[in-house]
Parts: sequence; structure tokens; C-alpha cells
Amino acid sequence: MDRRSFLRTLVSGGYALGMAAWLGVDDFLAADDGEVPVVTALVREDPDDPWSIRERTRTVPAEWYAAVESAFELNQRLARIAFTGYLGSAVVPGDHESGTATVSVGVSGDGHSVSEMVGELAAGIDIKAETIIDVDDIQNGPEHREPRLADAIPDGGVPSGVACETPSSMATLGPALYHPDGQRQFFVTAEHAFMDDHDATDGTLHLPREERDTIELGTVAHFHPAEDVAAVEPTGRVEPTSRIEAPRQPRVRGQFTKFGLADLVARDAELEKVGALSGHTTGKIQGIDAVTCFTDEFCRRGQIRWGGEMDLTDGDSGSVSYHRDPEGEDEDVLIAGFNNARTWWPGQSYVWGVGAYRLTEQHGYHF
Amino acid sequence: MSNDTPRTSRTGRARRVITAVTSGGLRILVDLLVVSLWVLFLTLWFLETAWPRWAFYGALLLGVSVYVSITSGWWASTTADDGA
Repeated sequence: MDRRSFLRTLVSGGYALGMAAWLGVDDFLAADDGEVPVVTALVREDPDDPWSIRERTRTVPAEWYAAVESAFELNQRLARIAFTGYLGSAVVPGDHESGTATVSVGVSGDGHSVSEMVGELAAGIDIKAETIIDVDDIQNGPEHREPRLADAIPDGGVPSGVACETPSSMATLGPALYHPDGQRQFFVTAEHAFMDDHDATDGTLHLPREERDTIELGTVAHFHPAEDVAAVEPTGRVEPTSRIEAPRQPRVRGQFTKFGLADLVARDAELEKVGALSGHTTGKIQGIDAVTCFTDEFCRRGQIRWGGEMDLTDGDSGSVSYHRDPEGEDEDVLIAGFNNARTWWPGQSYVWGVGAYRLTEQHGYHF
Repeated sequence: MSNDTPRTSRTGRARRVITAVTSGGLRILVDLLVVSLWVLFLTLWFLETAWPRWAFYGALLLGVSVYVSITSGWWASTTADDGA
């Protein structure tokens, strides 16, 4: 081969590779090697601009993806059927190498026929039926703790993790919640912290402060009972912020998607939370995309189960669970979901609340 | 009329240069077009077949070098004396 042919080959080859990269060939070729791309998070490009939110993808083993995806589908099918004795179920993805996922089903009383029925529904998914003997209601914590109150207000914003007051009770304030419609921002806390009869309250949210007067944060714009979230429109001089009141003052950079949470479970990652009463705690994720039908007449979907009963107490509702942003700066965290309740029975104990992705899917909000 | 001869030869030289430049430019354009079509074809083919990544890049570069080795003979015969 003479020099000219060599140069032509080099230039044409380089051009061909460049064009292949531009066409995004690697996206599906990587999948062909046993990996598929999934959207794991919604992340802000500019940390200070909540409207710069973008999807983040990473590749996961195709086998694992297929198993988790079928587990999600199966879980939704179970919730739709909601057979007698069904209390809820959750998906527990295995690690990436195993390429498996488990659906954990909670049933009351005698569960034999149920496991058979579930077995018929499942195709290649490991089913773990747990017979639940008794369901405790949410109980008061044994010791009385003092709530963490907001200090002086830095830059006119209130961080998440401090106490807030509804007309009827006390809860924890979440980080700023955004809605792309009209680019609105909201304070957020648990819906159940307001009285059941929403018309009977004026729906104002107050912020008690350390050695200062309580100030008004705003009034509720939207109640979302199924997600147990109340979006509060700011009316006062203070604004919600994307900071969390923890030692390092983490900055909220976005949120995990359903597959982002599955990926966290596969990597055995822990979630953190800051509640106004129990403070900062961490714990393992026990299940995602969970359905819980034991507290109300309706089933709550898209829930995250994590940690243990000790990670939540009354007054912590409305706090968020989060995990460090694996690709962001040191202080950046991504939100997993809210913490609104806890449940324990023999063999199980966890905190639960709606996943951020579910809130986005249903109502369009994001962090 | 004798004055015309050198002028004609100058025009001839200019034309040869223009021809060389045009044919060079044309060659590059044809190369880009052929390579683009090859990449596009391979991409669509591999989208359907789910063959591994190494096969894609192997076929891509093999196709390019085969194309160059075949066509270099054609160009060499028409512009044999051109410097590289």
C-alpha cells in the first residue's frame, strides 16, 4: 500500500468512526454486548437553575434490566388484581451480576393459595411471599424528642429537615419542589400533617424558629392524598431552597428515577434522611416501586421502603430520603423520595413514602 | 499567430492544475459520500441483527480499507504522475 492509499484509509476511517459516534451507534452496540442504557436520574445541569433538569443515562446489564423490568410489571399486575389478603408488594432488584429481581408480597393470614396464584402470574421472577401476622398502626416513639427548629434564615431561604407547623400538627419541611408549568416553586410537606377535612383548615404552613417569632411560609396550593404530599405556595418573604439541614448542608441536584433506585439497590447503596425529630439517619433500601394497601381504603403506589422503624418518628413526615450524586460534586445529592410512614411486623421494619419519580409521573413536580 | 503558442501552453497548464484540483476535490467528496453510506448501511444493519460491537467496528474499518485499495488503482492509472 502506497503512502496516498494509507493516508486515504486513515482519513476515511477516522471520518467513518466520527460519523458512527455522531449517529449514536455505541448506544445500542453497548446493549448488544449485554448492556442497555437506562435513565437513572433527572439532574440539573446548572446546580442553581432548577429548570436546567436533564435525563442522565447509564448502562446496566441487559439481563438484569430485563429481570427488573418484568418484576416492575408483575408488581403492577399484582396491585391491579389486589386479591383478598393482599397488603402490598415491592420489587427488590438483585445485584447487577446476578441478573435477578425479587417481588416481595405481603399477605395477611393464610397465604398458601396466594403464593400459588402469584406463582402462576410470574414468569421467571423469584417470588417471596411473606405471611404477615399483624399490622401495627403507626405508633408514637417511646421517647419524646425536641424538634429541630430553623435558625436564622440564610439568603432568605429555608432548608429541608427543620420543623414546620400545620394548623393541626407538626411535620418536617422538604426541599423546594418545582413544577415546570409556569415555573412555580413550592414548599412541601406531608399531606397527612393537615387535618383530614381540607376545607376546614385554612391550609397555612408556619415555620417555628429558634428564639424568634414563627413566620408564615405559605398556603397549600395542592393536596395529593395518594402520594401524601402537600405543595405549599410561598406567600411570605422566605423561599424554599434546595438545601438540606445536615452537617455538610447537601445541595439537591435532582432526583433518581425508578431505574436509578433499582440501580442503587443493586449496588447495595444506603439512603439518608434528615427529620425534624430523629435528625440525620441512614439505612438500606428494602424495596422499590412498592404498593401499600394497609393504611387506607386505597393502595399507594410507587413507594420506597428503606431503613428501619427507628429511622422515622412522628414529626419526621415530609422529610426526604436522598443519596449522594455519584457523578456530581461532593455536596450534591439526589432525592429518592419522601418519608411519610413506618411499618413493622415480625421480620420486617421499614420507613416508607412516595418515590420522587412517582410524583413526577403523576403530577409533574420535580426537585 | 505565433504569439498564441505560449499563451495556449500556459492555458493548458492552468487547465491541468484546475483539473487536478477538481479531481482531488471530487475524489474527497466521493470518498466521504461512499464512507457515509457505508456507515449508515452498517448502522441500520447492526440495529436489526444485534451483533456485537467488535463486529461493527471491524466491518466498518475493513470496508473502508477495501474501498480505498480498490479505488486507489483506478485513480493511480489516470493520475499516475501526481505527487502524493
